[in-house]
Amino acid sequence: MDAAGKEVLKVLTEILERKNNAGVYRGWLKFWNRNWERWLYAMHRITGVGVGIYLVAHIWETSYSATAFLDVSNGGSPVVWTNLMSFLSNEFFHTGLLLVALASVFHALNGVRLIFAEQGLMIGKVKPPTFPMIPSSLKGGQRYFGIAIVIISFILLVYAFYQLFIIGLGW
Amino acid sequence: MGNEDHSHFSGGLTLTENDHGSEQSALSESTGNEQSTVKLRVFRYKNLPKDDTSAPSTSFDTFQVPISNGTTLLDALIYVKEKLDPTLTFRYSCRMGICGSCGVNANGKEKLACKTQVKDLGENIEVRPLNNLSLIRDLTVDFKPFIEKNVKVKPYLVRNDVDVDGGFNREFRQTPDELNQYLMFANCLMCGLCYSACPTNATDELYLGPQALARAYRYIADSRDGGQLERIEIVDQEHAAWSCHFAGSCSDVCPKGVDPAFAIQQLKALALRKQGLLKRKKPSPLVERPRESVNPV
Repeated sequence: MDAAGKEVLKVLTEILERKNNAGVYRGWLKFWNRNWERWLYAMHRITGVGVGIYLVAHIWETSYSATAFLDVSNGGSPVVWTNLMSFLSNEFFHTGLLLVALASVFHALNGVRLIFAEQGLMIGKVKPPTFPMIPSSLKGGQRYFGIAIVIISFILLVYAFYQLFIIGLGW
Repeated sequence: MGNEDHSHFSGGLTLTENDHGSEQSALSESTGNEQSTVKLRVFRYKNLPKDDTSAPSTSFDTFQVPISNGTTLLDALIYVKEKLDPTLTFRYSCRMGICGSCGVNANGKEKLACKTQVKDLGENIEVRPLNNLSLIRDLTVDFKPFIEKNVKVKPYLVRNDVDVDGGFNREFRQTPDELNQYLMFANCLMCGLCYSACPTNATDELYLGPQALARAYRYIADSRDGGQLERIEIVDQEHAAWSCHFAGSCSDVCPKGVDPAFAIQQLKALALRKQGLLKRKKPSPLVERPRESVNPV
């Protein structure tokens, strides 16, 4: 790197230092010493990105085989689809589907929790400040709903495992 | 003091680490309590002149600090400043959780240094400045944007039906129940802990932040206020109430039990489906008699 590049890097570093924003890592993902809702917040982001990536891959995979299926000049047979499905039917890809199932259920149910909270529901009621001053929003019904969401997600994960591995792969 | 440099890499910034002497002191001379020592790893920042390339502007310094029962994090920082390194810079004033000046990030969580017992933090304590506010020096951050955002939500009673300027000497009626609707939010110290803990503030500089939004709700919930529709217009925006995703960390770290997460969700509910209720709301009337202690102009 030449002198001008180093100078630009130094100025940018100084701006970042001075701004002191926590950023994605310290702000979004460093949640292990935080409250339960912050865990759900981080998981909601992670599962959202994961399901989003899966959707793009899924649309590409389906459109790829559908195009081949509809291409009459190439036979128009379901062979491409069948080949693709047999390629994807193994422990590696089914583990991925298992994670997608977990992420989808969690993300959807947690979205419902957030919709309720944004309507002012399940976050307790305003109260005068009395010791020990535990915020009502962090001990309201939404907290128990959040715990229930995690439990339901893992119960449905067991069902997805049964479908994907016991039925799908014949374990 | 033996200095030992180690290279670190944290958050994209190159940091250095200096280890300061472990000399014991007479901190507990007057207390007579059982004494132990903690390792205080403190973030340092110097706003160097542009032509000064002698040292990096950020680093961590480690100090051995003797503590006893009742030693607060602020006591430990003052000990460092008085005995080990007088250049260490941090804010404090009242030392009893009233002024909200001594907010820091201790072991990854925002705390008021004067209200935090060192023994609750373990033997190794990392102290950083509050996040999401520009650094000035060491643990001192610039509160200017924080204050400006607070001012944006009109943090005062708005009355268009009464002239409250000049020699105004009357009070508005308010029942105890009406007082309890906002009293908790009126306890805000403006210490900035919620602003630092908020994950939205971490990546969105335009976001008003939990403090300003809770302050907006405090006045909207006040029966004496008549400016609720003006404030709803301010908070019903992308970089205001709707950027909150209910992580709840603001309420979790608040040293005075204020619940900004609750306030922001209420603001969303008001913006969505209760604006008609706000339009019909009449601010509370004046009392019949003027206050005797105030002389009308």
